[in-house]
Amino acid sequence: MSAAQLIGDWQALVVLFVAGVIPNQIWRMLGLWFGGGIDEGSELLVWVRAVATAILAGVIAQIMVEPPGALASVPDGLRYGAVGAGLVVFLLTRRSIFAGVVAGEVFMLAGKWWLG
Amino acid sequence: MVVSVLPLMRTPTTKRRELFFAAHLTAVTLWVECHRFLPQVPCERRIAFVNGLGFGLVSVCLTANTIGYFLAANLTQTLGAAILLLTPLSFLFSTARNSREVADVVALTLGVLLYPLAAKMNSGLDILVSGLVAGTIAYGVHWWREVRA
Repeated sequence: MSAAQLIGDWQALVVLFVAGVIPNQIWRMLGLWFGGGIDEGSELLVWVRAVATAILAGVIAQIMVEPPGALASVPDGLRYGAVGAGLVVFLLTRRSIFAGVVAGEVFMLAGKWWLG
Repeated sequence: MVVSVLPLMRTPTTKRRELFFAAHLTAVTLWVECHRFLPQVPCERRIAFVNGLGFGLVSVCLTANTIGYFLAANLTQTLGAAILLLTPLSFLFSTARNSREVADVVALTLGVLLYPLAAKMNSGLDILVSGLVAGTIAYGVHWWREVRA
């Protein structure tokens, strides 16, 4: 495979790079500016952390409710069941992330195999 | 995430430019691990710790990206679905493990539950809306418990 084949049209890549970097940088630089000025123990930081957690939770929910690509081939009930099964194992294993993720994956794969 | 994590590694003498890499390396895993590990790291070594961890995670991420790029076209649908399911599962459990306070649990649970409601508004800002509402309610719970205590 030649470099041209691997990389493709470099002008398109530059556009893609700039379009990707700008919206990302705006928020990071604002974060640096704000975050550099907040006290470690302040109440504002508790709120920021709660909102950041809830936004991440929203991202998780979005992937489950409106699944991208191949994940959409898994029926709704099976996707939610996989998260539920993973959560139960996660809690039973005293919060082992690895056990939770493996359990969720196994549940989904087994369900898909069983449904055919 | 950047705003909530930077104050943990700042000392009174820290300059903003010293936090430059930390601001750029902040992503879900680094954010989670910072909240978990930084309290045990001496203040003056926290930036070095975060830079090391962050660049390590980015290296792993880039390697996995490259492998995934070449693999993606050849995966069966089921395996593809299994890989896509890794993201929500690992995000959910790594955030849940770090939830020590009630407010953290409220933020995580409400954030998940409110998203489908916010999505119905079709504003294009649904995650931001559900996140702000759920996060503020969680903060309210935290504040209420502090006042009572």
